[in-house]
Amino acid sequence: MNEINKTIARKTMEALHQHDLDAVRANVAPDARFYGWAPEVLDADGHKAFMSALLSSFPDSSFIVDDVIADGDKVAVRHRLRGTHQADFQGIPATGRQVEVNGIVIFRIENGMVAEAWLNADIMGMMQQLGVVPA
Amino acid sequence: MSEQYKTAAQDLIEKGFNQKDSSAFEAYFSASLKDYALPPSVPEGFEGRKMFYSAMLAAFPDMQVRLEDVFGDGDKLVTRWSARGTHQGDMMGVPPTGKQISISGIAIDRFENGQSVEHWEVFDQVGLMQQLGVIPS
Repeated sequence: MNEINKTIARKTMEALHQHDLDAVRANVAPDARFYGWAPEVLDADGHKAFMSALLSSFPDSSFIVDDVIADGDKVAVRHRLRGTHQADFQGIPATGRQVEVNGIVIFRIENGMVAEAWLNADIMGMMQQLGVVPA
Repeated sequence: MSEQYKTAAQDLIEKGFNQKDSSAFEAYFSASLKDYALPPSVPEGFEGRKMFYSAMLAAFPDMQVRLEDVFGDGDKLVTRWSARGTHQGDMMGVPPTGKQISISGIAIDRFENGQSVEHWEVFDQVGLMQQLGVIPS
């Protein structure tokens, strides 16, 4: 089970890395819930819209997987987002700066799909790298 | 192995943070800890993590941490946590505001001989600063 769920998690991260949000969506349950991307809980549509906006702001985004840890129905993925800030991001006009942002996401997998996910991302680090917040 | 590490994480949170018993902190983290989540303002490794831990308890003396989820595989443990507290002491240069905060984070530890020797963590630092009024929402 751990290996199957790890594969699902890796497929999701690879789809993100390829900027294929339809492929991400195909792995997501219709009633999935995403915690930590926005102040409010996002559903599958909300998550796709959020990621679409992120990819617009950082069009050359790479998602690099550093570690995958699976246990039961949970998979944690420690990863980094690397990209260049080329368009407005949450009200911050394009800076042209490169960022590398650490993140840990936990997926709960049910029936082979992402049913819930929790994200913590180093947005403070991102803001510092963009020059919006002093380092 | 995972069950032993889960218990260690529960002890760290319940005794180390919620009961402020620093012996639980010392039991969890190895003296040879490599910590990838410390700010540049503190020393590396165990010393820095201990300083950060003490600083958080001093800044939020009524802090209560909740283990939201804990799981692991092999020598790795994943802990998702939430914390609440009142900002009553200086924190990272921010004088006490009296504000109540609520934050969350995810940590990963790699264990050797029953202790964490590598620590990765991401937590809602922006949310913390916004709640303290240091950064606009």
